[in-house]
Amino acid sequence: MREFYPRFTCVLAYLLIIASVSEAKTLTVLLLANASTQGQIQELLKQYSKEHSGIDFNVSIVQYSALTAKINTLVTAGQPPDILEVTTAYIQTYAEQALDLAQYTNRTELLDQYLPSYQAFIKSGEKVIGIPIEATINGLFYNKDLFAQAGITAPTDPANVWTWAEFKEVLQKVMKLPTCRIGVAYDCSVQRWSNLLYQANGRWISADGKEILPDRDAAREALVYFRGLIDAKLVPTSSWPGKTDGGPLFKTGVTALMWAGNWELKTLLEGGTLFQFGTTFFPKNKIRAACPGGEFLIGFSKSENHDDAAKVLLWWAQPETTKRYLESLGGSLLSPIHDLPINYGKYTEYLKPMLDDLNATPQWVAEDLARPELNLLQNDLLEQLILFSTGRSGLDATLLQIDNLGGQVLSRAGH
Amino acid sequence: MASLDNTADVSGTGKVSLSGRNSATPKRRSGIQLAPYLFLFPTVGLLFLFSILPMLSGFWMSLHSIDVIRGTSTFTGLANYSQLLRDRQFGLSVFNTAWYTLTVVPLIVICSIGIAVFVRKSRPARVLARVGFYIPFVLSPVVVATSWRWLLNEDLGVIDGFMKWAGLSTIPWLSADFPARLSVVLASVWNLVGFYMLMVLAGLSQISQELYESARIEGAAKWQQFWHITLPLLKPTILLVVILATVHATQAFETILLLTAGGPGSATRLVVQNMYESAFGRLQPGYGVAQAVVLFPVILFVAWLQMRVLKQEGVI
Amino acid sequence: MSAEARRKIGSVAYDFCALAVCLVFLIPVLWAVLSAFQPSRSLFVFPPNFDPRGFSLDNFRAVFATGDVPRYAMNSLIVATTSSLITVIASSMAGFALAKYHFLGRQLIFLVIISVLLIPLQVLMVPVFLILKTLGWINTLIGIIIPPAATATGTFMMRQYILGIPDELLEAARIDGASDWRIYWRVILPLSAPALGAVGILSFTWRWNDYLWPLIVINNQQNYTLQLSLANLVGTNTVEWGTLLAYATLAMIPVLIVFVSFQRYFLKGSLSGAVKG
Repeated sequence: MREFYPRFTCVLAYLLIIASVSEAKTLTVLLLANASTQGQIQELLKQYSKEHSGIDFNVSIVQYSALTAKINTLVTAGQPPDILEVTTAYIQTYAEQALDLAQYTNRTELLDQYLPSYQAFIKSGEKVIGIPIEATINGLFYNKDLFAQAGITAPTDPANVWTWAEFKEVLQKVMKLPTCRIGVAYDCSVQRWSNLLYQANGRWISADGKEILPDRDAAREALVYFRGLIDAKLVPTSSWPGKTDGGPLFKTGVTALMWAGNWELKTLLEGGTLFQFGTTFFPKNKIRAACPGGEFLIGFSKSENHDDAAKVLLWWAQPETTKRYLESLGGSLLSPIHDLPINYGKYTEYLKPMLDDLNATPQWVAEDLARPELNLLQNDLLEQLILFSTGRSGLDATLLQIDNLGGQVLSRAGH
Repeated sequence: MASLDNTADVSGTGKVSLSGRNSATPKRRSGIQLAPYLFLFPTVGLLFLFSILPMLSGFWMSLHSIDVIRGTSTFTGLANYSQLLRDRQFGLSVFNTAWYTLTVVPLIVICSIGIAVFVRKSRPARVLARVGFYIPFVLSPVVVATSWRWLLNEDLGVIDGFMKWAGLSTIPWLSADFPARLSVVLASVWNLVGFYMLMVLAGLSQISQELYESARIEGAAKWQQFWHITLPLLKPTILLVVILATVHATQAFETILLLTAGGPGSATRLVVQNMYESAFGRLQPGYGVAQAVVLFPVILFVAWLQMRVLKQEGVI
Repeated sequence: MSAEARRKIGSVAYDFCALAVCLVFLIPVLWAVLSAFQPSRSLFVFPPNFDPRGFSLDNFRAVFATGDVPRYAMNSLIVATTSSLITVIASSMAGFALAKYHFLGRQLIFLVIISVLLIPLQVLMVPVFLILKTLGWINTLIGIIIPPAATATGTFMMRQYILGIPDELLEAARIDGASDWRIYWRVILPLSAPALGAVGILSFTWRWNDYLWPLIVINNQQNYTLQLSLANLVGTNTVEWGTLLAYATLAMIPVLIVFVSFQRYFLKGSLSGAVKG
């Protein structure tokens, strides 16, 4: 009987130790709904679980349009997820609450491996607030059959990219065909129009964050040009302001061009199209520019398992892991890490002009796109853009309105 | 047997009215009856917990300026409300909602009654039609919006295609203000008519078939039967449809958001969208709820007015 | 031609009209359903080619690849059925109280119930979430079954219908010594079968199509409902149109089955013959 208690205590202690050691931590992960990537992200997380015992993931997927609602609710209720997937539009919005990865590793080393545009997205002061997992870039798609019928060839050499005037001419020429009903399918969003602003060498918010549309001439040029495209019915009203997605419009086969991005490639190539299509360079005005975008994983400093989350993020940031992820996607999305040889497979030839556009885009474009104020103003700015491009508001009136909107938000941000 | 006043004439003696007033309530004079409160408890309890309580909490939120990003909240009293008075966008969304409601409600009332009367019979074709008219209500808002968007497409859609063929000029269904408002009304009525049809069908079943029989024997035509039997006896249901349609219309949000996202410019932006954007787009949740708080008494008053008016006509 | 024959032809003509109108009415749905059968490269093609020989089941297969669809369907079924049951009972009880009893606060409570319809939950997600969190219902199916089960609409519908039930029947039962509950259970419920059927179908439809509640409550993919899973086909940059249309088509079927099964309830004339003069 005297031996019972010591033995019992040993067994108990042993069981307790086992329990605490084998206690799996479950990290909550919130991913954006995206048929191309959500499966692969979860696969990779499963890999992580295998390689790092004791870490499990509870993944839930939310639709992009419901992201703010869901995240704000969770954050306000004190239950932020451990890992969140966000886009370029949102990453800086959560900068204050995001996990600072610079605390866990060498800041410069982490930043330097990424393309300059992507460094801009993940920097916030001295903090590194997330890691890019994939890069997207806007791109110009065209209907090869319609172009052939119209006798036009798209530029294959960056030296021969169209100017804005030439772009308009190309559109007018192709639209003369009876088989062509729509000129350029152009999504109705601030980001798409911003592409023109950048090509005119203008930006939304000044570098010091105090002024909106500091380069007035560039803004005017971009606004007037775009209105011209709509007046000439080169951009269909079902796009602006009808808000019909560009993808389905392009797939109709009666659309000459689509101003979209590399994310469209997967559907077009895997689903197939009844016509031949290709990609080409964006037109240029003063400079060449395309809007870089992408997805990021961020953590929250107040989340339950933020230390483990940091480890996961830094594991993902390793070039091998990023490469593994991108190649598991089949190559339709680009690498945010520079000089990382990714096998883009069948997407390679389509990605070439887009990659070239990405390299030609100056870094300040990404900095501008990352501004959280731009995200806050999205709906209001879009309204102004729509009013002007459909001819219901004058140029000066529109700029005045934008000034007012900008003034409210920029002063609130305390810049 | 003497038929009591205000009872539905089930004995076929020809007198038709409704037991609207509770003339024959339980006789217990001693003390307060517990029964009605107990019957009401589940519903009221749940509504309180999950609707009223959040609303009260929301009212408290509306007295603050909440910074979601930094997680702070400052008490600002009625600042949100005074800002509302000067907010032109809010005013426009109220106007849009009023316009939408005034257009949608009569259409729904007329269509749902018309369709319900039509599909009431038990003939197989009508049964099929019944299901058919209900289908749009069951469809996901995303699909409702998409299919309408493609129908209304100016360059490629069926409707404008038909107009071109007929030699008429195409209508910019989603890219001009007034057509966009019409499109939204059209898509909404299409979506909801099955819901209200169901209610009317239930109401129609309360009308005794014998009434129609005796009317037919006396040589009344179909439309006379409709006008003198159906409509009067449908009054409680009509009240139901009018009030519900009005209230639901003021809260319209998801389908419209998917179809026009507020319309070209702000033509089809209704109040709930405005609130949602304030809360989640501009990240000002307090301001968003303030809008709800302001509109609440207004719409409630309208609903109460409707009940009053229809009560005059002996419906309640 | 005899009057009888004329009536018969008239009926058939009406039938034809009803079906024709219905068909035109359903054009958007037909577009969606037929498009669901289009292989990806033919989807959205202009002019549309709905040749059945070109149909494929790719999209439907893709639906099942989006996740554990049978499980989501089961979740949706459990939620919709249980919640509808609760709704039918709760709203008929409340409707009975509001229609047939005189009591203190009657008008006020009615108005309060109606006013609930004016509360936009979309902007109140945070308070709702906190309440659910306190109850421990976050990420559970209970959290999407019980809270939305009390509907003002259902209550209103029941009230209006029960108003039409003759008080004599209640009197008769009371004279026979029946308690309030017995009256409710034995007299009101059977007589309000049509309204119960309607409320049942409607609440099944609502809960089946619910998006907002599951969005707030559910964090775990295992507890997803069909609608939540369907909505995730609307991606960040692109929408999986083919899969989405197929998914939506399939998701409609259970609700329509419920509709067809229960519609006989609200087509009976429930009061004819209940009280004879």
